Amino acid sequence: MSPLLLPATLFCYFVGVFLVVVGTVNRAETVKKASTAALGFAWVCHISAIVHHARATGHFPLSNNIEYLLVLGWAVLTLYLLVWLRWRVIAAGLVLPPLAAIMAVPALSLPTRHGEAPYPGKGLLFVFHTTIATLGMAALCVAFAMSLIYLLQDRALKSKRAPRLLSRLPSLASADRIGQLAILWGFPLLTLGIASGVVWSLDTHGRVWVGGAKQTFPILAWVVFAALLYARLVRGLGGRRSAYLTITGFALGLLTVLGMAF
Amino acid sequence: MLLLVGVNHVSAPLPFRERLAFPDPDLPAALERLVETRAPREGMILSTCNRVEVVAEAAEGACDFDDLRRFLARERGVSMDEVQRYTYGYRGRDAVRHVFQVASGLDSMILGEPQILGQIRRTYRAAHAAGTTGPILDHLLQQTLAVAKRVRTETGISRHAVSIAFAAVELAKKIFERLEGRVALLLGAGKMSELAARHLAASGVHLVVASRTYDRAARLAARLSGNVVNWDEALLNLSRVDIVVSGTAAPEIVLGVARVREGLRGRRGAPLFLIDMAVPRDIDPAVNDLDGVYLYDIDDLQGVVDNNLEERNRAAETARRMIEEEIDAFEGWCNSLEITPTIVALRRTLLDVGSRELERHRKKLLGLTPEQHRAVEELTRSLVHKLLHRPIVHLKASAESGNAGPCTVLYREIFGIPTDAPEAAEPDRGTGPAADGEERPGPRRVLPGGRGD
Repeated sequence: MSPLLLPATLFCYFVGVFLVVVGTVNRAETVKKASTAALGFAWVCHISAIVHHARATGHFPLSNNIEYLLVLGWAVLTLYLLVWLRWRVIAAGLVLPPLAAIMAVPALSLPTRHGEAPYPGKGLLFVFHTTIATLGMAALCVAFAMSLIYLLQDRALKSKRAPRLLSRLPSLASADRIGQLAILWGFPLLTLGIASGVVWSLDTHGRVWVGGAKQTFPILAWVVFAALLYARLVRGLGGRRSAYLTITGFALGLLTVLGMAF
Repeated sequence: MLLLVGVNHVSAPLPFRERLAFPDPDLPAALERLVETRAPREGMILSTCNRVEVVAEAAEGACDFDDLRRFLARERGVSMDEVQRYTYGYRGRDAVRHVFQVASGLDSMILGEPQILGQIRRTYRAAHAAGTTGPILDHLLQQTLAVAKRVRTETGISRHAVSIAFAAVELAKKIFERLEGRVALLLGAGKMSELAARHLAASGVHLVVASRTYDRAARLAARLSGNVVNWDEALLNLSRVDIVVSGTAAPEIVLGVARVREGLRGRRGAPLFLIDMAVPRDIDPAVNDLDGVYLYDIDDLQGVVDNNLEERNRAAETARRMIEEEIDAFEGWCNSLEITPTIVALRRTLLDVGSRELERHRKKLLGLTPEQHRAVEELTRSLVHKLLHRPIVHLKASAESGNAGPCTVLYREIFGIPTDAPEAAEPDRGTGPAADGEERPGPRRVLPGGRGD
């Protein structure tokens, strides 16, 4: 890992998130634009760090959980910038960029010098599997952020004691709509990620089930999101329960990444 | 020098403001009479339901508050005593501050209300059409509109509702985002609930009206251009509405938890917004605990309004600081006006010297190619600009420190520029702030069909 690029990335994140907080509180357009500029810089530094790392190691940068988190963080920031540019939901910036920055932190431990790549399982199928799974997870991250915002706004509306919070958060309808859109993108990608993972596992290990957190948690997450989509689209589930389910599904998905360490 | 005399909702009672207001058709003639005497060189009249103000630009000592007060008394047929008693007057920097504050809604009855800006725009257009604005008021108005825009976008002073009915609409938008195509059920015929329904309808909500007596509901529905439904039917079909506005005179709860829960079943997870405007309350407060139900009673809405007022007050503080900066900018512009004619004259005088010298040496330069000739001309011009650079910087600095008068006299003496040169005839109505050396002799005539001299 480049000794300069990643710290620079984290610094840009820090400035960007600080400006997002200020922009959310005082709602000054100039501050909001400045936060986007800082996070734009973070985006450039982040992808540069990934590319630099990939060139230095000579392998696709999704080969272990630290790299996976690094790339996932970048994808999450990308989606935040899209959400901001398309729907102007600055509140999403309170969740997504900090999450992306936290995901990038473990990469600080990656060696700055590299010997031979010790990672197994290269090949197109592996690249496809990990890329799709990362994109799916990033989309579910957005769904998670929108669910948190939904729950906060729901509480602000019901308690009537937080009018300043209420006026600074997006409406329930937009939090719900963006969250649903994120799930509608994330769920098929998750499905495809799991399916390609099964094929890869069959290819590499000769069997489908190798056990462990790496396979258990994505399937649990898939079940939760499948149930959630069914409840939302067919049964008309909405409100807090839908938000809680989204958060549960996302947490299970995130455990997969942690499970990869074992 | 800018002067402003006027009345607003604080300084004068309504009957007096009514008498002082200028009806639109009278404005052009009044404006012409304002500048007729040439004492005010530029003028405009702002006349709204809450304020009447005369803004005039006049040479130092040529016009005072009492002249403008007399003008108001004469024009509107009120006694000078009354005008004296109720009007306020601002001069120079204070007048500019007042205009900026009025345009930003800081001087309005409802802090930050946005209508005043449109009224100021109309006022300026009327004065412009009557030919009574000039460079100073043109610039003042241009900057006023910019200031008001800056205040609104950067402080968000007008962002939040400060009436209960508007607060209800704002909350509905926090739940549903877009209100177009939503359906609201109006229960009963209370005054407050009707007002809230009216605001909702203005945002695109379709209204359904129910009252215990069908005739009353029908009349109300006709007024609000909504549909009438039968009372019992309305309460059984809660699943079909997004918003309920209740304002019945019933002494007991009209909408209980069981009924609302029943209604939610058919809503497929969509939220329900309940607004209880009745005292005693119509809707059981416990329904607020149901998932996806948001109940606001009159006290809750008042709480929202109070908070919004606080936010507006905070925004007004920021706005006042912004306005001070903008006044500095306007003052700087006014000061630069004073030195512009001198700068133009300086450039012209020295460039004249340059071309005369070139002419004198024409014979000696005959051997030059056209290209070399052009280079010599260019050299002369650039020499003049280089030589003038420091004096001009010095003049501008003196204008900024308010010391332009003695400096311009000094430079005119040194360079032999007569003070009655056309540029200097009316120093503060000169050629505008662009000290770009272009020749624009004489006072600028900004207006089509300006007043005759």
